[in-house]
Amino acid sequence: MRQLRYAQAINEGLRQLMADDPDIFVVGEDIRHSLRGLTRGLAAEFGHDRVVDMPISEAAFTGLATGAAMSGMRPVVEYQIGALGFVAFDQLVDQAMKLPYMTGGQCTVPVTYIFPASGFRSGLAGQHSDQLYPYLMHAGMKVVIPSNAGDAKGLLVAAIRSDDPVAYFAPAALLAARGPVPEDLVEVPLGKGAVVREGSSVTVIAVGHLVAETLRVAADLEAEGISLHVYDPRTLLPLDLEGLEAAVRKTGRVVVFDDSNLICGFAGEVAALIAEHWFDALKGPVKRIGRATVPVPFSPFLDKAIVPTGETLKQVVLSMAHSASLGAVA
Amino acid sequence: MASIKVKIPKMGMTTEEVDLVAWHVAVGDRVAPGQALADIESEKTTITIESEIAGTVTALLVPLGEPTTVGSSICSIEIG
Amino acid sequence: MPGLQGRQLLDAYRAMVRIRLFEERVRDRVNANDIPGVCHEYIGQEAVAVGVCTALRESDVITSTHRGHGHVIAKGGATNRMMAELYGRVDGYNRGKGGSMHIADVSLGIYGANGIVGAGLPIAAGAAWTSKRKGTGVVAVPFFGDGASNQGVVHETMNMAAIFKLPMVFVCENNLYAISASFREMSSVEHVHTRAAAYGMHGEAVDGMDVEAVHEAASRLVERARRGDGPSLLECKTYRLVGHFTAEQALGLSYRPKEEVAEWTKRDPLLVGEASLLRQGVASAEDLEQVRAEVAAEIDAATEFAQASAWPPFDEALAHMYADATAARPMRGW
Repeated sequence: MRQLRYAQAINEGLRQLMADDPDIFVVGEDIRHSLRGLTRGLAAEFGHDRVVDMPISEAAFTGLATGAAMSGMRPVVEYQIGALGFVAFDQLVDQAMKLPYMTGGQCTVPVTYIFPASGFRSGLAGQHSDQLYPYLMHAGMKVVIPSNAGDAKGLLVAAIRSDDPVAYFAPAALLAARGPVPEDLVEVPLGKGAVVREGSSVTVIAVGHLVAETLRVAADLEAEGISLHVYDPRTLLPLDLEGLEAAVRKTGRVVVFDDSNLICGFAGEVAALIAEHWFDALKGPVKRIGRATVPVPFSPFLDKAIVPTGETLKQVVLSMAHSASLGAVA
Repeated sequence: MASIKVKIPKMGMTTEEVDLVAWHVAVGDRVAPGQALADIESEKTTITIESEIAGTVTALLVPLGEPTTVGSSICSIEIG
Repeated sequence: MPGLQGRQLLDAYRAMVRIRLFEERVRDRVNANDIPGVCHEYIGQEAVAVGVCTALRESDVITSTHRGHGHVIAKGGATNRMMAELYGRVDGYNRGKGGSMHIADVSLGIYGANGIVGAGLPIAAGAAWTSKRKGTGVVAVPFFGDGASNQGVVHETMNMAAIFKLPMVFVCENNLYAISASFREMSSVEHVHTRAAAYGMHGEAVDGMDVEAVHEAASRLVERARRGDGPSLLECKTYRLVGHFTAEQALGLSYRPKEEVAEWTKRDPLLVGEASLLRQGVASAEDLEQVRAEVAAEIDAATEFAQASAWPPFDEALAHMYADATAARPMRGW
């Protein structure tokens, strides 16, 4: 299969979906000139009525998407920075997310929100680096975070075709990454995880750009006789519980490797599910890796001190292997 | 004679890896300020790197189609 | 632009009476603890909802506020299903899941009352966006109050509507108070409509206690929007003749001078409407009494309908969270 970069896969998916469905339009900031690369060439192809630069009014254009969706359109909202979701928070979680339920199912709100998922690239500091997905999941919003170019296109198709609001997180660290991408619109269904590496010692449930990090660490650890089983949930809500259970049962030793804040973060949710439902499968405590709950500091040196990396994972897995062998001796 | 190395500029907040997708000059070519040297493609966009000086291209440091990174040198130009 | 003529004026009066009697019944039932929670009554502002909605088509879209019963009735909402919603019953518009602050009938273009002040405006802009793109001629009308006029998203939406020339009429019901805070204290300007100028948008004020005046102004601005001449802001000077919500009397709040309330009570929109009907000879005093009796019977029937309606089935609590119920079910919580 031909290789595309992650950002190109999103771009191609958007182009093909827009060509198929005249109700799809994109709103955001600086998207006609495609500052982030996702809408490259689309304004020329589909016009400024369908690739629409908005004033810097994130709450208002998020709400506009809701009303447009309720009246028959299928909007896509691109946020230039993840944290802009905070500015639009009421319109996201209190309006778009609640209206179908609060009206007793009288309407649907088919909007896709494309957020940059930050991390892994230093220098963006405190207000450009947050991972917003735990906040949105807490409100019940569907969340996907593709970890490779192929899933980037396939999950975009599923998100845009979904009749629910879906938050789509595209990690900045992956936008340049290449991978095989189907030429057609092939949907990767929402709510289906994927085993990306078979292993037998420790299960790593990795999110977004940390999937690729995990694969690098897995190759290193293989040399030390530790075999990582790597599971990518792909959709964080709704979670693929069957896939998750199988991944947990595969080894009974679990690390959840996530780049959001540890407190009330995604890793905590997964760890709690595992402890509640599949405790019998566990050979030891579930380990969570997440960010320290501080604003991401600017200095690259400090950034690395709080944002999870492959090195963090390696240390955690090695310490688990160490205590497991001690346990065996005792 | 003094020479300089032409480097790939920062292309945004997150871009690091780029491809060199076209050379507009060859070793030995005379170049003038503003003359196109090479096209660089990131995941977001394609830019043309231009010469800032007048001189002669003495070396191409990145093969066509190869990935490289922001900040890398792509060619040398002898000033004059 | 012709105003409300003859039968139309009588129908407008009937709609105002329907709102008034509905609200009085709601207050009574809330205080009897028959209706859960509290409600924000529309009493005193009837001429705004009715004057504006009589200028609209059924396909036009409105968004409403926390004080939304009047808008829903004026746009054609059925009082029995509204009452059932306030009672939290399965026959309610929202199957009991919205209540007073979220009543909607999307099929009538009512995109919902809203519990967050100002939040409905961008949603209305979205409906206007669809109208413009699809050429349906739909006009979107967000109702909001003087309190909302200080909310950021309200200003953002006005600017956005103006630059894209969206078919909208922003209807501000300036009832002088955001709960207990007076507009005079909380606003840098004397009138909300003058702010329209900041967005290069037409703005004007109208007597919000006079249904004919509101209808005339709204009709002009709605047709303007429908023609493609862009959005405008209509400020209706009005007053709620009761407290912010049903519990206010019990709280004994005293932010409004008694004299002020008395002055505005003289301009009760129902009195203004009755006087006009009698003056124009459209209806006799007996006709008006008959309208009131008919509406009272309707409200009785609506109340009985609500009281007889079943509680929503237990499963309803987890339904409608997602469009595709088989693909995603919310977690129960324990």
